Amino acid sequence: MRNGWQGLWMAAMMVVAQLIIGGGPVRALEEERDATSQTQYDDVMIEFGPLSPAPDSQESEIARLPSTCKGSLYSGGSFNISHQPNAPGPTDHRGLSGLKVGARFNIESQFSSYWAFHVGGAGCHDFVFKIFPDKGFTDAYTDQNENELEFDEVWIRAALGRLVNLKMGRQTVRWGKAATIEVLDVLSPKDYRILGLADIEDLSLPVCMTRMSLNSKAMSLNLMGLHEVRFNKIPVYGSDFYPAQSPAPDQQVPESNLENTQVGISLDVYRHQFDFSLNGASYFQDRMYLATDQGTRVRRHSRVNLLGGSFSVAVGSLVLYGETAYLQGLDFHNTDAPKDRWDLLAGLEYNGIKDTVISAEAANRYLLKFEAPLNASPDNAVENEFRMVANLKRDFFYNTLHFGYQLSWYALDGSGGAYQRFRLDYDMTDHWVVTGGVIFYESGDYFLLQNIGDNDRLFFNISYAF
Amino acid sequence: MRRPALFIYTLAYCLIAIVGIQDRLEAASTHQAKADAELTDVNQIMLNVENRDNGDDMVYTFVMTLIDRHGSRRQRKVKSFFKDFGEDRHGIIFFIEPATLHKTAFLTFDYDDSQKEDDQWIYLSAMKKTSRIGSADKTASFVGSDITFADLTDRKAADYHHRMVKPNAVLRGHDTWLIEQIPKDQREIDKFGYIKALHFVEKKSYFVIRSIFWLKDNHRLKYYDMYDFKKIDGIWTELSFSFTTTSIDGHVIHRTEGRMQDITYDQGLDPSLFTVSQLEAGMPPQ
Repeated sequence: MRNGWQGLWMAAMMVVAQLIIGGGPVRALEEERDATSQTQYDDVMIEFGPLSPAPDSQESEIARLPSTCKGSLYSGGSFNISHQPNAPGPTDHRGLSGLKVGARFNIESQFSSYWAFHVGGAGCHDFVFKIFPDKGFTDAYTDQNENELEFDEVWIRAALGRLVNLKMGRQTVRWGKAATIEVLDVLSPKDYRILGLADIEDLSLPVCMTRMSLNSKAMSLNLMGLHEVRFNKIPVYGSDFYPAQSPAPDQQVPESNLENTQVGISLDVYRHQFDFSLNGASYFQDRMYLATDQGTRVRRHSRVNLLGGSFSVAVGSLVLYGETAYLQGLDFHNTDAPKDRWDLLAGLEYNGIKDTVISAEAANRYLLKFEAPLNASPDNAVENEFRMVANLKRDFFYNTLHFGYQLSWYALDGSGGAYQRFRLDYDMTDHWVVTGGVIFYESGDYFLLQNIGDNDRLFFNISYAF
Repeated sequence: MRRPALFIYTLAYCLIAIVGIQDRLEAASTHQAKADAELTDVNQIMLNVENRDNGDDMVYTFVMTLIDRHGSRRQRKVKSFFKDFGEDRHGIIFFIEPATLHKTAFLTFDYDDSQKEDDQWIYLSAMKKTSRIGSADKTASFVGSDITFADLTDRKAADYHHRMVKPNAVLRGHDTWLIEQIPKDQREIDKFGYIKALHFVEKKSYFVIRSIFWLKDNHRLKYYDMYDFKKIDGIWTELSFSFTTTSIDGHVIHRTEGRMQDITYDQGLDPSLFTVSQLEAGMPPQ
C-alpha cells in the first residue's frame, strides 16, 4: 500500500514537472517507462565471453574435396529372452543369438557437374557361430548369416544437359511415400531376416540397373531397366523366424539376362503442399509359389505387372499420404489361374509436438477372385491381408537421446500376429552411437507369423561413424 | 531481393532501424499523435528491413559447435544454398558433418505470403528416401542446437509490438538501439515459442548484435550474440555468433556457436538446384 501511494505521488510529481518543463504528460509517462525498462533488464545483461577457438580450418578444405569416404564400424547383436529349453526345431536359439562385428564404407566422387561415381560395400562376421558350435545351426542359416561381404551401391552418374541424368550400376530405388509398409516400394529388395528391424536403418538392397531421369522444378520422370534379378533376404531353414519344420524346396532365381530385364517407370510431381506419383513396373515378385520342374518341387517367382500411384499432402504439422498398387499375374500352387491383387495404404505423420513424431500406416492387400484352396498349404494365402503400424519417436537432451516405439499387427483384430519394439539410441559423440532395445512378438494366424511368439529379444549395437 | 538469413532468419526482423524519432519537446497536445507516428515508423522500418536488397542468391558453409553444460562438444556442418524466386525464397541445405548425417539434405520453399505454408522435403541418407514434412513445432531444436525452427523461419514485423527501450546503448563498442519486442497474440507466442525479446540493433549495419528471448515453456532465457560481421560483396554479413540457453537465474544450460565460411552472393545459382531430384543427387561440386 505504501509503495502504491509512493508510485502515485511520484507519477503526479513527474506530470507536474513535465508540464512545467514543457514536455507534457504523455512524454513524462514515456520516459518513466523507459527508465523502468532499463532498470528491469539489467538483470539479464549477462556476457558469456568470446567464442571458442575456430574448428580446424582444414575441415573446410576437406569439404571442398571432390571425393568423400564415409562409413562406419559396428558391433551388435541380439539376445533371445523367451525361448523354452525344449523349443522345437534343430537349432537352439536361446540366449545370445547374434554377435556381429562389421564395417560399411561409401566412397563418392564428383569430377564435375556432369560426372560422379560411387562405390559402397559392407561386410560383417557373426561370432555366435564360433562361440556356440553346439547350438545346431543349420548349414543354410550358417551360410546366410555367419559371413557377409558384398558391394553395396556401385554406380556412375552422368548429367546429360541440365534436365537429364543417367545413372548406371548397382543402386537403390525407393518408390512411394510410406515409411514402413511397402506397397509401391517393390523394385529394391529388403532385408527381412529379422521381423521388426527392417525400418530401423537402410535395409534396402541395391540392384544393378540403368536409370534415366528427366527433371524439372515440379516433376521428375524416371525410366529404369533392372538388369539384376535380386530378391528379399528372408529367414532360411534354421532361423527362429523360419515358419516350417523342414527345409524349403530350392528357389529358382531367374537368370539376370536381357530377357528377364525388369522395367519401371515413375512420374513424381511436386506441388504446393501436395505431391503425387504414378508408377508402373514389370518385375519378378518376391513372394514365391511352389511349382514342379522336371519332377522336382521348386519355389518360383511370378513375373507381375504393377500399376499404381501415391500422394502426400501437408496440412500444417500433419502429413497425410496414401499408396495404391494393382498387381497382375500372381501365380499360386493350388490354382492354375494367375490372380490379381489390389493393395491400398493410408498413412499419417504428425510432428506438431516438440521433438516428437507420431505416425501410423495401415495397408490391405486384396486378392481378387479368391479361391478357397488358396488358404491351404503350400500357398497359405488370405483374401484380405491387413497390416497396421504405429510409431512414436521422441528426441531428448538436445537430440542426443532418441526414443522410438513401434507397434505392428496383422489382420484387423491382430489375430494374424504382432510385434512391438522399444528402442533407445544415444549419441555419445558425433562419431559414437549406442543403441539398445527390445522386441516382443505375438504369434498369429498368418503363416509366416505362426511361430514367432517366443522370439522376443533384446538387441544392441555400438557404432563408430567416420 | 531478400537475402535468406544466416540460419538466424528471424533475427532479421530485429534489425530495427529507429529513425524519425519525434521531437520530444513538442507540446503536450501532440504527444499521443507523435507516439502513433513513432510506432508507424518502426513498423515501416521493419518492413524495409524485411525487404532490403541483400542479394538474389547466396551460398555459404555453416559450422555449428554444440556445447552442453558439461563442456562436451558436437559439431554440425552444412552447405547452404538460397535463391530468391520473385518474392519467395527457396533453400537447399546439405549436411556434411557429422558422419551419421552425411548426405542428409533439406529443401524448403519459403513463401512471402504469410498465409501460405512452407513446402519442405527431407532426404534421409540412411533410408535413401525423400519425404515431405509438415511444418514442425517451431520451438523444436534444429539438429540438437540452441537454434529452433522458429529461428529459421520468416516472421512478420506486423505481428509484434515494438518499443524503444534505450536509443543509445553501447554494446561491445558498437552504438546500438535497444528494442523490446512482444508478440501481439498468443498464436504468435505458441508458434515461435517466446513471450518477449530484447534486441540490440547496431546502428551502422542495422544488424542485431544481441538478442535476449524469454522462452514460453520452461522459464528459460536464450541469448543470441553476434561477434563478427563485415561487408561481403557490398552486403553486411554476419560471420560468427552464438546462441546460449540459460536458466532464468543465468546458469548456462546449452550453447551453440556458429561460424560462416565461404560466403558468396549473386552467383546466378541454377534454379534446378532447388529441386527434389537435386536433394537426392547430393551437393553439387563447388
